[in-house]
Amino acid sequence: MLLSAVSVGWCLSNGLQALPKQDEPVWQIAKNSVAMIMRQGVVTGEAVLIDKSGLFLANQSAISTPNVQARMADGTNIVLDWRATDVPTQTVLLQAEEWAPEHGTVVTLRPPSAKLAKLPVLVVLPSGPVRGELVDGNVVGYLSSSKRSFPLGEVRFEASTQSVAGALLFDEGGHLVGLLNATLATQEPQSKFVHIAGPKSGSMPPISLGGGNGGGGSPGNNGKNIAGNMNQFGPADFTTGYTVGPEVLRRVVSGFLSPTHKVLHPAIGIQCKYDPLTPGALITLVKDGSPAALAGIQVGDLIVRMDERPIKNQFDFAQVIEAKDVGDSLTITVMRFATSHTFNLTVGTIQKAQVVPDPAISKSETGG
Amino acid sequence: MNKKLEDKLAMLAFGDLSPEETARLEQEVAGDPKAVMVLREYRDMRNGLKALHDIPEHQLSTERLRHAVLNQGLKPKTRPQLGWLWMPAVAAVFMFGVVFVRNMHQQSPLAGVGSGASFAQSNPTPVAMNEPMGDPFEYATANGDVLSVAATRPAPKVMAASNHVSRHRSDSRLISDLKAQVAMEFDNVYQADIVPQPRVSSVASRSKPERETASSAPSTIVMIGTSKDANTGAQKATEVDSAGDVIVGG
Repeated sequence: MLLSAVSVGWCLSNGLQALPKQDEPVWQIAKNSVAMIMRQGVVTGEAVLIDKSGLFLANQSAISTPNVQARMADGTNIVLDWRATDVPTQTVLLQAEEWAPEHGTVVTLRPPSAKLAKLPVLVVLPSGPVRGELVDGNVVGYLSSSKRSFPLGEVRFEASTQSVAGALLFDEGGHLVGLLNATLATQEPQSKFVHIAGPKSGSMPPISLGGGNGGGGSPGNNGKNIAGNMNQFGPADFTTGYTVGPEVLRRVVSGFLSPTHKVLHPAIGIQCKYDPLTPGALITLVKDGSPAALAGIQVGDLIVRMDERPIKNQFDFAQVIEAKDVGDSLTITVMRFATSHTFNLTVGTIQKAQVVPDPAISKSETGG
Repeated sequence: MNKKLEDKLAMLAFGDLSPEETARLEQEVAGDPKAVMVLREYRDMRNGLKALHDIPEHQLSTERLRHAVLNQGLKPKTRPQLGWLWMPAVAAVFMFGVVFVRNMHQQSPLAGVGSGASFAQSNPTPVAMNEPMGDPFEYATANGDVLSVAATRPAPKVMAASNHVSRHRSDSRLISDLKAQVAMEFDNVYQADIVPQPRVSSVASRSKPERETASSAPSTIVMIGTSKDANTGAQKATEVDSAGDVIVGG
């Protein structure tokens, strides 16, 4: 316990010392919403307060048992119980036991319409906050497990820690931008990238062309060509990570805060792929009973238009779906044997994407 | 002829069937002269294509060419260029007046319609898909109830061209049209093969219609797997250059 207190205390206070001066005000705002999750005296992840009733949001990698111990910036030790998981975004909802509102401040989300590219962010890691940059807000992430596509933001930061999964990202106003979902694989040769070997001094690092092992055995993964931004960062290796976009984050938070704690991701019940012969999204699966099936859409149909937007590939399809809310109407035009068919349907959702624990689930031993 | 059988024959001719299916189908149609003739036509068409263009064998023998044919039908890609001919044409309309118009109406629907619709209607079997099926989708409305859209199912709108379908065309006419159309579509197949994949690299190099939608196009596509990175503890992400075979659900 003493180790835990020392560890978390160091993160929440001394971690500030590594920050550039201009980031100190951001951390002063953000840290009141952050709970450092720990196990066996080691900080293993972070959670952020999303409701005054003591509901926290975290990446599922930070949770290994149905309840975990955590500590707030005011020194309060809390126990967080797992409430629900949103599988597509890998986020979990946690409820603090014996919560009092004065223990923390509810975080505010960055507006979805706000610009994401080249956005300075504060990355909250188990070792404390570091400066990073959200370099690209227009990345499409594809989850191979669920075959679902989400808009992502690409963030780069200096990682001197071994575990960065679920790191919290705050913008300059202290708004939550996202949670780190994944990092660029470190061991795969990616010759198109420029590997920046991490120097141990503050000088400009040497740049070696040709890629190879981007990680180089260091905690950070292979960096891209970001030499122009190097002076914003410190001496450690770089990590390139990805977070779900603000729209998806807002949907997750909204769903978790609903009475059912369910996140409703829009879906119509099809799978599709790029058609090399004709621009469009070629449907490869129509789920029985789904809105698409009930409307009459069939396997082999080529989606060429959704509402008024031309569809050139499967990611165009995913973008349109992601922009919808459950219950919205959607018009889809497909080509079927050289004839055009238009269908009107109502957007549904994926139920199995949601995991809500059985209330009778037995609590495991609290770590700490 | 059974449309399904004809479809199978096309697949056989283009090499889309397994050896077992090929042997079985060849045996099955051996006693059917009409089927043998159609099969021969398809094979001639395929061989003719090989002779027309220097195309890799795999592009002819895979499903993609057949897919293009079935998908595009026999509809001519471009209409004849009228150019300056519209002026005498207008004059001709005035000269012949009502009689000319009546004659136009009395012609066969086939005369003024792209033949693609005819082929499409005569081959209603969907293109065979080899993708794995079975994804755990379940659907619900915002309040959690199972969604029921059956009551609002609309009648598909079909383009006007497809309404003019000749159901009396002979197979030989169909095959000859198909030959011509495949020859025309061949370039499309080839061009489609070099169409860039969904990844977007440069806005400036694209045409105006593409630029209009470029703002929403992804700059990078990242594949997130299930395994974790040993160094970062986070799930591994890999950038992909070509996402052509990526199946996306939604």
